[in-house]
Amino acid sequence: MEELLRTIVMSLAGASMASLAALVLLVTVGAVWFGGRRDLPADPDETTSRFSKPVSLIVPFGPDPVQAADTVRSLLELSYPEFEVIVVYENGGETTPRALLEEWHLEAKEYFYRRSLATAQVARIYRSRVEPRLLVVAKAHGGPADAVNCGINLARFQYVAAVATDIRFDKDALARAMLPVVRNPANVVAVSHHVERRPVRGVSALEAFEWFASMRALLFERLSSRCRAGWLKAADAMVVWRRDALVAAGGFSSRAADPDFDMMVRLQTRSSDASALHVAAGGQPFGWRPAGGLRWARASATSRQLAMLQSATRNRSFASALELLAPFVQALWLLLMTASALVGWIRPLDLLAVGVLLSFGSALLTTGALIARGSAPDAPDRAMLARLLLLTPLDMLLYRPALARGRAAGVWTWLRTSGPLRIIPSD
Amino acid sequence: MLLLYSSVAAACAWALVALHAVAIQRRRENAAAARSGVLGELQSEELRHLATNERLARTRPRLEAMSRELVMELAADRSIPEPVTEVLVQHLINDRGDNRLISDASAHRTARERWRRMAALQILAHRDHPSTIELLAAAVESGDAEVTAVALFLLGQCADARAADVLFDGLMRRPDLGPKIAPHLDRSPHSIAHRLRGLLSDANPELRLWAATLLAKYGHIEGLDRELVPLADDADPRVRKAVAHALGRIGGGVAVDRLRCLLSDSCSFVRAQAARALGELERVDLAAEVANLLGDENWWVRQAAKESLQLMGPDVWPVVMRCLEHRDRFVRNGAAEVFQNLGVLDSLIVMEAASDNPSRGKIDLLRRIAAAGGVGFTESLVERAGPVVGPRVRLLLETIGLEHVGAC
Repeated sequence: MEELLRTIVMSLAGASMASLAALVLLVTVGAVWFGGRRDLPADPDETTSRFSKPVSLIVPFGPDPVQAADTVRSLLELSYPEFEVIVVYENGGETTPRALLEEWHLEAKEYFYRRSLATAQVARIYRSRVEPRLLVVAKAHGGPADAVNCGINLARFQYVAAVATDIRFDKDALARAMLPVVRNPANVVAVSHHVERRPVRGVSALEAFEWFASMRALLFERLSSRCRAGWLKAADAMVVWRRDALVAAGGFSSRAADPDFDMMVRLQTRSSDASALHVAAGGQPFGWRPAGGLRWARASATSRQLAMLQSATRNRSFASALELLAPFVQALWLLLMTASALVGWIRPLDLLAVGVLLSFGSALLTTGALIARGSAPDAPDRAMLARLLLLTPLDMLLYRPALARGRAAGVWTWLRTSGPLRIIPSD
Repeated sequence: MLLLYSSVAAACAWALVALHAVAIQRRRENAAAARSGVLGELQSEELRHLATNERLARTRPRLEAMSRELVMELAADRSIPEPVTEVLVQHLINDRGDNRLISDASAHRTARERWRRMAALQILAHRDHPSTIELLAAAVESGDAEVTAVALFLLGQCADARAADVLFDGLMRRPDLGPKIAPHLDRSPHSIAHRLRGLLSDANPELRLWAATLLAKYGHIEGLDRELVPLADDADPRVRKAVAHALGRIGGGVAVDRLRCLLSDSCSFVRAQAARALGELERVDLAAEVANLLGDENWWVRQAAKESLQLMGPDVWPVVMRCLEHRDRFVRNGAAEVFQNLGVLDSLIVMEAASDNPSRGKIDLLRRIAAAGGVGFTESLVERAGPVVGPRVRLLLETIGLEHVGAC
């Protein structure tokens, strides 16, 4: 009996190790093969010609008006030929920050509009006397998804995108973002663009681990789109949507752990013809944002895990399935080998070797992501690169376990709210 | 032991890949430093006003320390000022002679040679070298996607009439390159209409497709519409779509009759193109037939019908008005959106509000339009209506089910 159990455990452990090794090798070879090559920049005529599609850019913000003002200024400097900026201010009241009022000479106007999506009450709508493309909305608090839905109600154009206030981007960012739409307007219903999360000044170990995670996400996005493995959206992404598809789907859900991810799954499962509604991966980063810290990373891991589990039965994306399963396979392998060491089926040295394998396997993948990032803007210099490379084996030992807590919280929340442990109130 | 060996192998693999990453970065940094050094020196006040040969003599040590590929990369870069590029090209010619550049541009085997070929083609094209057209023609036939793309781009920029012939010949031999070749042929100042007309009856549907697409800009040629019309029944839907596009540019009775037939084509993108073509021709008399597509099963066709009606202008309003009563909600929604985007709705609202005896029927109509999604957003309508009619407009808008946000 013990022999049988040992055989089963070792077989499972072996299968886990083999699948992880295959994944790491494939991804690393892909990264080194494609890495360092700069994709040919889009022909600017393609997106800025008279056939370009106008876009409504929605900027939801809350307590930090300074960051919102910076974002609005940057958006209005975009090189894209036709767009509008809708700033949605949520602070539960009618007062709009003075910084915005004064800089853009805002004045309240009377409006009548059709509320296609239900949202919290809109208190005021302002127009700028100096910038016709700018609209500012003050509304009652309803959350980020509600703010975006409010922007959708007021958007004039066929395509919309929400831009968070901490994203930094260059003036050609929107032209790059709209390229997949321009190339296939009949079928593309959403395009997801990675937003890199990286340090602002200097690099601490924690910021470096967060940067690694972001670079890996970009690598997976590029490889998935090349291999047509299906791609939905990275944890950090800016998405351009087709407005009518959002309205038909009922808008973003305030209850979803990741409203963007939830919407993508809904859009893909709404259509009976898979080719009719296509979610594209942009392939090039839209911009970047500062590292968020461990608390943010944990919360992000929780919401990402929960979002993926909530949509697991509807999600057709192979890449997403891989993202969901890989950590479980790692954890399973570690658990099986630890249990085997405790009962004496393997030596303690073998368990140490497992730890080394996990660390350097992950480091290999992260190094591949560093190469694949190539000479994208703000690439680390040689000294910084060497430091980052030395940190890569520590990522699995120090950072991922901290995130595992976040993932476990996501799983537990799912089990309690939607999964088998859901408590059904009695009548 | 397997685990132990695997862990050692993983650590070694990581170390190798990490060293590879550092080596790449080192090369990148050295190249960037060399690049900025030579460009800075060539554009400095001291050298800027000297003749090419003198500037070359002064910067020779730097240029000789750089790899030939790096100098070629700089010489091929169009963003670098012309006087600087002259020095770089002269250095390349002095280094290995003119023939070396031509040799680089002629063929390649390895990835590195491919890169050199692309750079050499750009350099020679920029210098208007006599062999440019022949080299670019060979590059189009090379079979390498990147080399072909560079060659097509350079041919498209070329003022030489032979460039258009090379592009056309490239299209004949490689119809699959049509999407890359066609934009350059379309922009070419040289007429190739006589050659394109010959392709309309070609056995290859790709060639018929590109011929029809490119002939769109030759609408001034007598009888061209009659030559295109038979292709509206082509077996290939892409050809039919291209014909719809071309007929939309040419116009005329023959073209319009054919476009009307294509509105009921079995293929959605053909229907969509036919609708757009009629909109571009502003055929208001055919608005009813286009409006039928507001209820098409395909989103892209419905979108094309809306855009077409909007292009036709406000005179389509009687047709669109009837669509508001349609049993199909897509038709009602589409019609309402067209009303909004034509600006007719604002006029209707103000007219009814200004009337001393607003018609119940018209108010119901406005309510239906609002419910069908026609009123996205009204801005400044109350202000524009003035102090007397403004309050009535406000009341009217509130009664038709719109959300109101006040200014104070």
